[in-house]
This record gives sequence, structure tokens and C-alpha cells, in this order.
Amino acid sequence: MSPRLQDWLRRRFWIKLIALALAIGTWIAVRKSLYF
Amino acid sequence: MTNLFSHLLDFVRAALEIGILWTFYYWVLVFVQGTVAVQVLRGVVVLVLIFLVSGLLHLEVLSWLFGRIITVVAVAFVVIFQPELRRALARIGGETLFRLGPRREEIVEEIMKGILALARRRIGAIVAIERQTSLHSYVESGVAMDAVVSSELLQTLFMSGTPLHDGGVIICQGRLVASACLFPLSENPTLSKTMGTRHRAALGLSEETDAVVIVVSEETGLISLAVNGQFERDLEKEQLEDILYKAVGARSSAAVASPSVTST
Repeated sequence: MSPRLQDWLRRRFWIKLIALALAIGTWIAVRKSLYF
Repeated sequence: MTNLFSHLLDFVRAALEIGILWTFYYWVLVFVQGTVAVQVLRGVVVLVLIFLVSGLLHLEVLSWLFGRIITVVAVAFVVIFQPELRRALARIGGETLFRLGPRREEIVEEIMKGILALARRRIGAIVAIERQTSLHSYVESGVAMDAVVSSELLQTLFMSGTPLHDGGVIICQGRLVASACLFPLSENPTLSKTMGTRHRAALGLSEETDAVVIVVSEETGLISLAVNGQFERDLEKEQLEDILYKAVGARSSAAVASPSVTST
């Protein structure tokens, strides 16, 4: 992993992780409501 | 083969959708970080959690009640945060997508020119540059501006006798976002008595946040820098330029090293 990518990941790591969890959660919830 | 291609396309679509959603959530979280909105959001999250749990446990009364409360909260949220929402939408439309701001070199050059001119004329000034920690609460204490950083604007803002000269200027992501801001005063007992309120305010802000704060002394015209609760006085032009270049734009905590000299 490049140092720049590492630095980018390190900065505001928790916000990035929470945003990812929310994004995946929303995507799954919407797909479920659309197709099931 | 067609099936494989279709699966691949589905995967790319899903990744794209999640990517866009992630960008949206990340942007919202960064925007509200360090503001009063975080506390309100926490409250909303608790309500949503109670609603979801009561739904899962088939607690019909609670589920019905919290379902209604969430609807009311959603409307209240729009009313309470109307100015923030307007600013957020203006930022999407005005800056992120359609307008590319001036380059980092240009911003640093303008700050440098402004600070050096103020120092030459012995006009007191205090300029804070936001890094990781949000300076939003300090922005609210002053007069909101959202202007392009220019040496002329900096000089004008600190001109004595003008309404905005008292207080500090905040630069955030390459924009001059507010002036006449109040910064917390440092209670550092080791601070020299010769340091005025302006220096105390610069040090105070650097103690409470990771902002880079530049101070121009009214008495001596010397330029000082406060970072991480430490002062570096009488900086050379090149040193200041180097530190500013790292602080502006990137908002990287690793970028700006703490000053090695403490002179109080």
C-alpha cells in the first residue's frame, strides 16, 4: 500500500468507516425493500 | 459469457452506488463534525435505534409511537438546521462540482503577501488555518464571509477602525470563511507578560484545536506562529511559507510539524 493511500486512510478513519457502514446498510435495506 | 458480463455489470453498478452513498455520508459527517448538529444527530440515531429494535421485537405500541416521533423529528430537523442545510446545498452547487478554487500555491502566496504587508505596517493580525479539527464553533463567534483569500482582503480586514478588525480571521479549505472571530485565551502561566491578548488568543486556539495560527504583533511587527500549544516567534519568510503550504488545503495532521522552538 502506498504511503499516500495509508495517510488518506489514517485521516478521519472512523468517519470513513462509519460512512462505509451507513452506505452498505442503506444499499442493502433499499435493495431488500425493492426486490423482496 | 453473457451471464458473466451481466454479473460483472451488476457488481460495478453496486460498487458505484455504494461509492456514491459513501461519499454522501462521509461528506455529511465531515460537515457536521464539531458542530451542535452532532448532538442532535446522536439524538436522532437513538430514536431510530429504539424504533428499529421495537420493530424487531414486535413491540407494536413503541414502534407506532417512535414511528410518529421520527416523522415529527424529520420535519423539525429541516426547520432547526435550515441555515446549515442551505449552506451545505450551496457548497455542493457552488464549490465542489462547478467551481474549482484557486490552487494551494496561490492561496499561500496571498496569505504570505497579506501577512508580510501587515507586519511591515505594524498592523496587528491573527489568522487561523483549519486543519483536522473543525473551527466551526469559532466561525460562529465572528462574521461569516466565505471569500476568496487575497492579500488585499486580509490587509483590509485588519485595518484599525473598521468593524471587522477586532478578532481573528479563519481560513478553511482555502476559503476565508469568517472574520472578527473570538478565540479562547490561553491560560498558560509561562507565557511572557509582554504577550498581548492577541498572542494569548492564538496560543489558546492552538491548545484547543490543531489549527495553525499566525499572529502579527502590533508593537513589533514580528510574525509568530502558534501550533499545538507552542509558539514560534520571529519567523523567516521561507519557514512561514513552508508551514503554510503544508497547512493550507491538504488538512493533513501529519503535514505540519510542531514548531521545534518554544519561545514565550
